[in-house]
Amino acid sequence: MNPTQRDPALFVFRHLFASVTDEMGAALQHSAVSPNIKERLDFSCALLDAAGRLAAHAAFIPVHLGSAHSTVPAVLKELDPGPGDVVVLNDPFRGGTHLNDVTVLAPLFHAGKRCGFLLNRAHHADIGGAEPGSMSGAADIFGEGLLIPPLLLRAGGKDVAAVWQLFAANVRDPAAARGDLQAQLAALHRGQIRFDDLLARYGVAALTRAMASLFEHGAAFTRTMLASWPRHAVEVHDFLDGVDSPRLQLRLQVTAGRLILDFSGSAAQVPGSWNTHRAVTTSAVFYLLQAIGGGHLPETSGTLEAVDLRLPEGSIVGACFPAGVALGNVETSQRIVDLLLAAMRQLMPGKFPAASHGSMNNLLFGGKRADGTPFVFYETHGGGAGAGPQGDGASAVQTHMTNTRNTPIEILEEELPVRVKRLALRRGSGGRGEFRGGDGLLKEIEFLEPVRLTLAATRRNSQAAGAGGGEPGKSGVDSVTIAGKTKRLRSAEAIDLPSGGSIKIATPGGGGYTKDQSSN
Amino acid sequence: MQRLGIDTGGTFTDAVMKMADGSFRLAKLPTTREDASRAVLDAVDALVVAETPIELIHGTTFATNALLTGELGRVVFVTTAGFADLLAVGRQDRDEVYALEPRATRPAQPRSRVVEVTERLDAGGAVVTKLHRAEVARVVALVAKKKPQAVAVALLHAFRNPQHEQQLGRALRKLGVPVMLSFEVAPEVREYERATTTWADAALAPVVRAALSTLQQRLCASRVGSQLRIMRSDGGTAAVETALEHPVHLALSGPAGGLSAALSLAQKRGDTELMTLDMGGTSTDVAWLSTALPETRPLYVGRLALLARGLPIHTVGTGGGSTAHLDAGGALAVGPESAGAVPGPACYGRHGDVATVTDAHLLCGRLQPDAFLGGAFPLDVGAARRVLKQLGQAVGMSTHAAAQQILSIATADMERALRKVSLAEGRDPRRAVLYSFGGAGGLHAAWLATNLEMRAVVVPPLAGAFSALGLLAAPARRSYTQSVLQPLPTFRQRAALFAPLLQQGVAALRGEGIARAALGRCCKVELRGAGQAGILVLEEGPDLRARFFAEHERRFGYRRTDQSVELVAITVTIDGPSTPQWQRLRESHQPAKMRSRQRTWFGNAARTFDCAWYQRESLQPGDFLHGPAVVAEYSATTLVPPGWRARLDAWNCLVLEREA
Repeated sequence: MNPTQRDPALFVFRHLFASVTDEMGAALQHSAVSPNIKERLDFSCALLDAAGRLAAHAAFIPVHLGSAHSTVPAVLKELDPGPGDVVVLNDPFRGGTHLNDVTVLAPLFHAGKRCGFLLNRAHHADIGGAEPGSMSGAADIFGEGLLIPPLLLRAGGKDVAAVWQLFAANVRDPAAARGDLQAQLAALHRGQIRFDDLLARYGVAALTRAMASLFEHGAAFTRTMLASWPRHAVEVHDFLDGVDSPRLQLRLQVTAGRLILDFSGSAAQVPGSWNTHRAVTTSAVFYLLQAIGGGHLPETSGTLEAVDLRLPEGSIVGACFPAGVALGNVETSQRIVDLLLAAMRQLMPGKFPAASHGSMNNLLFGGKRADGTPFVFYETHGGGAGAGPQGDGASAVQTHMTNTRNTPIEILEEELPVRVKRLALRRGSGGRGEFRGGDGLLKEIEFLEPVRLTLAATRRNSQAAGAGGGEPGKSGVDSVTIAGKTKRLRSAEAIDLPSGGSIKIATPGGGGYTKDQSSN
Repeated sequence: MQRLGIDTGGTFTDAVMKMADGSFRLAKLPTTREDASRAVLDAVDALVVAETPIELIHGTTFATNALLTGELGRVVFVTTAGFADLLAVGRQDRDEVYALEPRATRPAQPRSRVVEVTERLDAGGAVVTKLHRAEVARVVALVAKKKPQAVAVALLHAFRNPQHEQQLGRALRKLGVPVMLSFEVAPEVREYERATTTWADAALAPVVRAALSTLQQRLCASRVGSQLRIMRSDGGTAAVETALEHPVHLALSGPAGGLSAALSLAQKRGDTELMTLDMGGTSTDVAWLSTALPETRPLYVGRLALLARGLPIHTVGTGGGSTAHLDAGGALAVGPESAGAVPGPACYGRHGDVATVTDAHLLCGRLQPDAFLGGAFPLDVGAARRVLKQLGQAVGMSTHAAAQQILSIATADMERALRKVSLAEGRDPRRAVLYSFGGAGGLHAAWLATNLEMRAVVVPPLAGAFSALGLLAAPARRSYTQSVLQPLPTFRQRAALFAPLLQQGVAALRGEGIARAALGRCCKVELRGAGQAGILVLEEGPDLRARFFAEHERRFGYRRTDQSVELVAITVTIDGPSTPQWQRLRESHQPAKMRSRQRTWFGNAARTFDCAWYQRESLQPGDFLHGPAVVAEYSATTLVPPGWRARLDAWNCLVLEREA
């Protein structure tokens, strides 16, 4: 086929492929056990071609966007999955994202030939490691939890019992983890049935052709978008909170129809969990392009073909084994978006909003109930969105790389020994300007049983930038109160709270916006 | 008393009346947007000339529009201390994942009209902080100062223990404005959704009361002794006085008529499972229905989730007016943008200059330019050809190929929607019949049925005014839900949970003059495996545990009998007798009489067929015909592809099936 000639039925197949991933997503959500998957939809499902290129995707949160296409090539280096096999993995350096995201992958076969893959990836609330929730307290990847290289979870249609046992033995809530993994398999199964229907209806040749056409379409889509961007280069930098304030640096330029994103000058990977590797940095880029395109970008591998992502090896944005990456997914990824957005503001002033609160404000805690049963809980919190040319920023809302809902207070108190004392907008925390940045969120939780707790968050020592002369939002500030004494809580520091202790989270505000360019 | 069903839609107000001989009389008037009751009363006068009292059953979009436009009453919101921003924070998610400047839709309740109450319950409903009498007095005084038109009270965990809400309710009701308590409106877990539902109920109360009371007064002024009943989102009707008690249940009154009609017709025809396809100008509604009372919670009005019961409608953005364009990647795309009613498709001749799905149908010979809406609305084939030619040139294909692709893409989008409500929910479309109504559904239905391997397509009588017909058929209904959240209680314990809800419903319908013996009762349980999100709804009865595991395996693909089962909620529905509008007619068995011939494209092939066209109104029950053929009627068109046959059945439905 002539590469510039689009299959006229492209959107027909786009809808049909999307119904395969729709159905996998519904199956996973309905049968999962842990709130993070069933309530917060922290998972994604993908349909890929035989080479592992992404053809259709159901992702509810953007951090899963750009990583699915890197999984299959990594797996095929080590395994050659056959009919009835299912691969499991979570190793960030061998096709995964961070350890909590457990990925299962099944090959699709037609007449004995592999013609594609299905995968889904779900965030497990705990994957072992030093601290409950597996997202803090580690110096490197080994401390973050159970590391699973690509392994067969099912072989020839039968469970590989040893892998299940090893998995269950390494996590804090094995019953929930098994249930979630089972739900992931059920979702794959449903996807397989649906893909087989399409095979029967259209034949393998038509499906393969349609997938190829989708990749070309994605590439053309991005090229069209880039054609209207100015050609000059812009350079921006920002810092991540924490020891030595690691620097993130970006040079952005569109040349010869390609978007060059050069992160040279960014800090080397750091001890702890704050690093991101290529898959997650790619997700942040995918997200921003998608936001600029109003959500119309095709979620296929082709879309990023015109993007040159230059990541220094072993840096905080291009980390190598054995860097810790748990928080890179949720925090550094937000900072990468801030950086990309800052570059866009410079490239096209007056068109892009101020920075949003820039964190996911991750709260993790675990302990035992009065009856001795263990619990682990994970939740992220919204903050202020940046104001922009369209008006004030939204308040207390998830921005950029996540859009998960909160756990209702009535459910939280039903399932865990906690009492929420306050939930409020953090008034006045949004940056001032012609349009105001959105306000952050205030939440106060009292613990009725002792817990070990971590709050992993950024923009505690820095602020969400304003745009065009707008003021920055206020930094976040968090504290714990034990026996009447309140102390400031350091980000990512695990602490023990006795029964009666409480935590107060105040998330950052978004940057303000004004059209006054003189102070820029 | 003569009964009329009147459905107020966005463009037309449809009225249907059943005549003594079983036939229907129809009136279609333009909706009067500034005063919707004018078109309703005009429609009444058009059908019933004599000034006799009537029973009017009304489907209204008034509450929906009020919620969408924010033209609502002035509410004071009362909640537990520490949670004044409950409605402002919501679930912290944004409307669109991909937007540079995201928005988050929440109830529009200013902080200045929120009052915090010092009180607190725990998750078991036990009192942690007592609500003192002095606090009640302070709250009432503060609320009064804010001059509310209505008050909404939602306290944490109140669905477990209503004591504090009741205390406040008793005191606040002395203010003489409607007071909505969350445990009454939506006794279910999840504070934000329960509070939003209570808030919406209160905010609608003043405006819906004004609108419906006006309609009732004007109706009774000219026709003394007339009765007004309102369709609610759950597919049943209530006397206007009852409907006004909790107007939040009118949030999806409009589309409920069509679904309710499809259900009652399906019952007659013996179709136990069905999917509906209602294709309109800007969007298409699909639903999976089963004759065992389907329903859903929450239901969505725009982006607001309401814990109110409604029929499970899923809407997709492809309708007759959806526009086709070349996207940035060079592919032909259809929708979600729509040309709407104005300018509408190019062929409407109102200066529309973008090709739409309707233009593509016209060019493919699937609509007759001079017979649209009975010939009252001529279509401009030249204009359709012009815009499709432009598009074809841009995409690099012929004018006809472009039109055909538009139709294939529109069909694929609808297919995805039908898959979402069936297969994605563990339901097998091969067991279901596709009920297609609205003007354009019949142009796509046979292909959708083919792709989903559905048994048959049913195009009901009066397909273009089917919602109004449904109003005549709907039963009087009361439905209730109560959160339980306990390990599955025994049958006897559950009976005790159901009893008060049953009593309440029976008393309410007896109050509308319905005899106890005529009441139907339906009790359901919502179950889940301990800790799971996926809730399964089963009919109350013995062997619940075993039935749960069987259903779990069917829906989710595996069975975990080690799991304990939780009772999440119970629901109760009490129905009065429905008034069946469907009459079995005597069937002959003869070939239908053709009206004319026209070249028509039938998809999946490059060629067109010189095929027979039939007029629905002149077919007799029992008439049959073979595809390729087209059946046109006043406000709808149905395609019968090659390999299919169609028959007008004894229920006056056009039934399409594959040739044996």
